[in-house]
Amino acid sequence: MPAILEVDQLVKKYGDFEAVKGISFNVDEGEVFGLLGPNGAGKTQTISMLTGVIPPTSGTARIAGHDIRTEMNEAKKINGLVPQDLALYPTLSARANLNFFGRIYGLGGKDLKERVEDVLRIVALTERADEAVEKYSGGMKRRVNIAAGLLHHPRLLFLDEPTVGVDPQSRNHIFESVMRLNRERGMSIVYTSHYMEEVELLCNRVAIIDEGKIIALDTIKNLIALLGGGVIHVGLERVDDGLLERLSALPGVEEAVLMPQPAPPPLAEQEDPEVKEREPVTTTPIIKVVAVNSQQAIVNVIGFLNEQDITLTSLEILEPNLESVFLHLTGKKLRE
Amino acid sequence: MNNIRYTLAMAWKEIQIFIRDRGAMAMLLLFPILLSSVQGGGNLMANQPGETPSILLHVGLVNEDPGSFGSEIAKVLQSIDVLAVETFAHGEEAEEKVAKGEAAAAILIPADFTEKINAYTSVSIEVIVDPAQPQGVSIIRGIMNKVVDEVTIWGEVQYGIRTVLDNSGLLDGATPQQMAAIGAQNLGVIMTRLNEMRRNPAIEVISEDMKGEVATGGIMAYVSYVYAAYIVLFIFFVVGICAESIQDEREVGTLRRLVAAPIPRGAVIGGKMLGFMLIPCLQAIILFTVGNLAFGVPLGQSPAGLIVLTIVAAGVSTSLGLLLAALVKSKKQANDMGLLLSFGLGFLGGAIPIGQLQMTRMEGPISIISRVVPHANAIEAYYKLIAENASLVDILPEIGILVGMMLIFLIIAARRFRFD
Repeated sequence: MPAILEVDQLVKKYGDFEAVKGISFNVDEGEVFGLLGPNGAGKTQTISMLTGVIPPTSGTARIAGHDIRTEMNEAKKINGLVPQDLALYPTLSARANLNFFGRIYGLGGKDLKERVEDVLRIVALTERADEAVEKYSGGMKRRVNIAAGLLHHPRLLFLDEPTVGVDPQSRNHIFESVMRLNRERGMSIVYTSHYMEEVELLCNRVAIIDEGKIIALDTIKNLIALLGGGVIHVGLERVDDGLLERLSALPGVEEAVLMPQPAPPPLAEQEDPEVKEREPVTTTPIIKVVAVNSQQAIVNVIGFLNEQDITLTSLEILEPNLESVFLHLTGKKLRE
Repeated sequence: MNNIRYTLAMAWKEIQIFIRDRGAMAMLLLFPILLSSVQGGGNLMANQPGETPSILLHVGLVNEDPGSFGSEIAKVLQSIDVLAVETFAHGEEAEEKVAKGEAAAAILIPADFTEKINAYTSVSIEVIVDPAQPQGVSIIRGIMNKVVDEVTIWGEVQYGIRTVLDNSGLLDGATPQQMAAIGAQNLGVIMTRLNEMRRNPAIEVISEDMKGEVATGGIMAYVSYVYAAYIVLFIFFVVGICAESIQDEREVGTLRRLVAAPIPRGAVIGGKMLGFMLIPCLQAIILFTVGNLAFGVPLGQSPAGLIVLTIVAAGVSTSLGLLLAALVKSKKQANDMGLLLSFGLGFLGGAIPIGQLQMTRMEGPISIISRVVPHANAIEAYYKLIAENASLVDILPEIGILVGMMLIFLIIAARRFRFD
């Protein structure tokens, strides 16, 4: 399958701050590709560069062979953007909004009218199309937001966090629309989210992005396989010298490593009695045990710690999903 | 061709949004009509056509003359509508009033005023003026010249009658009472004839403008100025609204969406500008129509001049709005700064009428300073068109200044504009 999007060492800097640090990936024609990462990871910045909203500092990308540095206008005709914000005019009706965005993409007359009806059907808003958008629910607004990105029949659609603040019913509707667009119209989709469930449901391949870098890129199956036989987080009272080596040598255990300790809160926060009361600061060490066989590993680790008279303070067995993969790779939770 | 289509699509969207925004509609269309109606109607009710507007100038009067001419001048001054005359016994008191800015002038009639007129020798009335009220000074100077002319004529005629009677010997042996009675009778006959000649002059001087039209003056000139000022004030209301709308698009994300579309950034800005230019144009049409039909505000002889000037003024206003949008960081900032610019520049440019004359026609440096404010130039051009029947060519200097300002605003805005 030929690539519709080829991203090559894309960088975005603001002064000394590097928001996107040399990202590279390809998206095949007809693929739903996920960009998964926490807020502030650089997903929106990447999409903004790919859609011509902001120029890259260095690197480039090609959309259907058109270089975004030299042929952005051609690239813009091929792709569509559904921004994270509800980028609509609230006092205008859905139809007026869509008519306007259609004209901006060069549509007019009968063609425009037909396309507007078509996208209204896709997002199931035909009956309420003449009401002002400000009267819609959050989910309906999201659906109009998506419809506006579909008017010109893009071959590549960028959906930037399209389900933020949406009720479950509208969220399901959005998922169905995305799948139908991909299945029935062969539309390639780049889907960014910090909800791993969405990405798992919709995407063929996923790039996990954190702090402006892609830290893993593969199919969901292969990414989950990174967890091996499973990952166990074991909280301990203390960590003696040589403990990690001895845990790593236990049957069923591939590796035992000490998790990085969370950074202490700022001084001002430490002195704030309310903060202390709300969330006591814990310094208990946590060991990440990567298992070859998780059941065997749990039994052996607990038995060994009892022998050593080391008290367990917590035990967490990570489910094999993208959230666990992200935690495994970064030591952070996706929604931290 | 496509760029024009994109620009028109942007402009049409702005109009649709404006039509649905009742608050903005009321602010930009109804409020100007209401305010100018109150102002225009009030002026017309307070003044009959042809009279001067009812401004009030405070004047201190010191009449040390025990004779008839001094009291005659005092009576005339007190009968003039535009003057609020306060009498003082001593010159120092009146001068102090002027020094404090409480009076525009102090008028001092000397003790020997009547005596010297009767003796046909030169005499002067001292007028001490407040330089901070140059407009009032010029009005008082005009009034005093008129009053003194009148008194001078009386004096001249009385002196002439007395001399003729004395030289003829006709009243030899007459008592002083008889002499005075005959003198007064002759003075009455001559002054009656003189006043008749003033009402129906043998030679009439008509003031005409360049088109040969009788120049409008008095209250209509003032109403024209007020109307021009209000139209300009309201045209520049769009500054804040334009900036706020752009900042809103920036915050909501529609500006990002537009930039992601295959539409030139210039068309986005051009469309926005065109849409917002239509609002002040609509304001001007409504205000002129209401003003003309309800209060007889003249429209001048150059529709082309009015159209071009309105478009240019609207262009300056929206380009200032774009400049503001390029500099602000929030909608609140855009709104606050927009109001400050509208009223601040409006005040400096004479769009909030506080005097009888536009800034550009005042005496002193204020006239020069006002030229750097777009409002003053626009008001001057509107006034020339509607009150002085000027043509488009006559207002080209003001148009040139306004176009220059628009270009400066646009260039700075283009360099500083942020789409995200």
